[in-house]
Amino acid sequence: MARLNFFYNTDTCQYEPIKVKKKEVILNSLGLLSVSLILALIITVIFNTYFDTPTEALLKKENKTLSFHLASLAETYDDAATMMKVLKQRDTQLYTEIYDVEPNANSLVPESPLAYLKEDILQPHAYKKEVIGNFGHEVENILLQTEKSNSKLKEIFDIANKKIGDLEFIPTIQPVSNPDQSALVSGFGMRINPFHHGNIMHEGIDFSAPRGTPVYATATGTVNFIKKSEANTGFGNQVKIEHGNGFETKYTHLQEIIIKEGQEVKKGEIIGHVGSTGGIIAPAVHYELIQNGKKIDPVNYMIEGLVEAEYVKLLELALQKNQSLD
Amino acid sequence: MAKIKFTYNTETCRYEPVILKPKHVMSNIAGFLGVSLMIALGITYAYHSYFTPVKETRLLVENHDIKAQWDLLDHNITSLTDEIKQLEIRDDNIYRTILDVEPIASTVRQAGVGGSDPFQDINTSDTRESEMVLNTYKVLDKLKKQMYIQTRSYDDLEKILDEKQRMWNSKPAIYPLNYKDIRRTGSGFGWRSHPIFKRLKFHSGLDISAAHGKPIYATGDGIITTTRYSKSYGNVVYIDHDFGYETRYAHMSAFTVKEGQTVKRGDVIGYIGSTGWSTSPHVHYELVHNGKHIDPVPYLNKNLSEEELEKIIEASNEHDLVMDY
Repeated sequence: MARLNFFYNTDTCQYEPIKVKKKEVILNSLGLLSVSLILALIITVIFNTYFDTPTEALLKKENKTLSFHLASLAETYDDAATMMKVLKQRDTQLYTEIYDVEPNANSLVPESPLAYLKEDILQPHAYKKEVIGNFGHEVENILLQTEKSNSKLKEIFDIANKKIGDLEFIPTIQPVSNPDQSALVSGFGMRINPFHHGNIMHEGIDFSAPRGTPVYATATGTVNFIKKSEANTGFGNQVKIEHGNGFETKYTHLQEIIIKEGQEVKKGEIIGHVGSTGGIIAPAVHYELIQNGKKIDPVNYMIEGLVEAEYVKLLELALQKNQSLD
Repeated sequence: MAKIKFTYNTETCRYEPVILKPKHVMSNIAGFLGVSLMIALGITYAYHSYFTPVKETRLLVENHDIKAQWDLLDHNITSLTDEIKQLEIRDDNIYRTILDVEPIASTVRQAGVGGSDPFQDINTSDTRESEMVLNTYKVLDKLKKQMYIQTRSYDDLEKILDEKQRMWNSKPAIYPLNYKDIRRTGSGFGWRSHPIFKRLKFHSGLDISAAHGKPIYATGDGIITTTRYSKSYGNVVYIDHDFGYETRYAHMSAFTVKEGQTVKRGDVIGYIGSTGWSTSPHVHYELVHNGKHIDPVPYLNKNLSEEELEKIIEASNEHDLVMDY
């Protein structure tokens, strides 16, 4: 048992035990606590300055390593970005020298809207599925309505088909496969001649394609003219097809012709292969459309198999006032 | 003054004043400090267990920042990769098609991917993100190689284009006279009755009549190989256009060029005359391809308008001025 402490009370002239007051206990405890807090703070500061916790040590190391690699990679990236600028300039320069027009700054290569469809809609990512799921009900409704309009449209198309007659005899396709439209390099109208650089009438469309690419009949018809020429000027090896309704098409600069005069050809049938016979600077087909003896712009008919955006792209390319290939 | 403390001594049965010995004072202070220290350690421990210390937070923020920058770098690299891909597509699909050269094989384009790992020396043991670090190195390295290949490709294409342009510019492609000066395009290529000998003779060129002294132009870029007088041709100029083409211009009244001189399409090489076996002022224009005379008519580009022909001639004059000074 603790010794009792007394004090001498001068009023009562007696020794009385000292009573420990609550207030004093609290004050004492608070003192103790504040000293403890100050100590805790000092400990933390010292510890932080001279030691690291394992997590901190790991982070420190990682930050240092990552910063080092980031700086080195960023430097390499800067070099690459500078190089890319040079490459783009050279690309523009080449394009300009070949076509006599600047390339479209917005799109280096005409993008196929179909590619977009495939990636973004036909193969939805997980989150898109979720979004689509939410709209499921609405989609169902729309589908129902679409089905209704579809049958209506089918009726209209049936009537239209009867009126128009067979599209087979109208040259609505392109003479070479042209999935991203970029094969069309020069359109109908005044164009710069690649040899003497004079501005002259270019009465057809040039489709550039690698040597040997198949050339298709753009509509069903009869081959009514074939001419082969070794000369390095003019149209070289050429084919003309008569389609009826006053339409004729002409395919020139072919490497070889695999049909005969008088032969019937179907729309899309291969008539020959791309070459550079005659006066042309690159392997290409110079394609002409003749209506009632007059040469007209074939792009106006090249609608088959194209969605609107693709056709717009084709039209833009055809309207460029650039250099023709022949 | 502080009250004096007393204690009741049971042995002496007396109240005795408490004397504070230094030893007691010391042990009291030590005890107090000891308890404080224990509490302080407790507080520190609790703080570390329940809260993230400031220093760690700071490091975490820094770590986060670095990773955000890393993401940005990755993003930028991806857009460069997309751009180079577009350039590659254009290179293969447009330039190489137009310039009639094989596209670059995709195995070459993917240059040196695979094989020994060139990144094994990179030390990433200090980070939990070693995959991220190595991946960025690899992607950037591949990008640089692709760009290098693209650079080489442009070098090649520019060379090819230069040569092709030289070929296009050299090919005889215009009339040797200005349209307004032409009086008559006479005897063509083939078997013709000769105006002087009055018998069928092979006519190896095209006769174009014009007034005496009208200028005659080079029909394509080339080098003057011959300027001479011959009994039959009179004053004649030969131009070698390379690529197998040669043109000859006969019966001139005078030349303006010397042998060995380079000429551009549209340059004046001489003037209309009637020298040699000729009955009236005209130019006898011959086109030789790979040593054989061919009909020059298909090479004249008759659909070229007068203004356009004049532009070509003028452009060549400008060039001459530059070359002379």
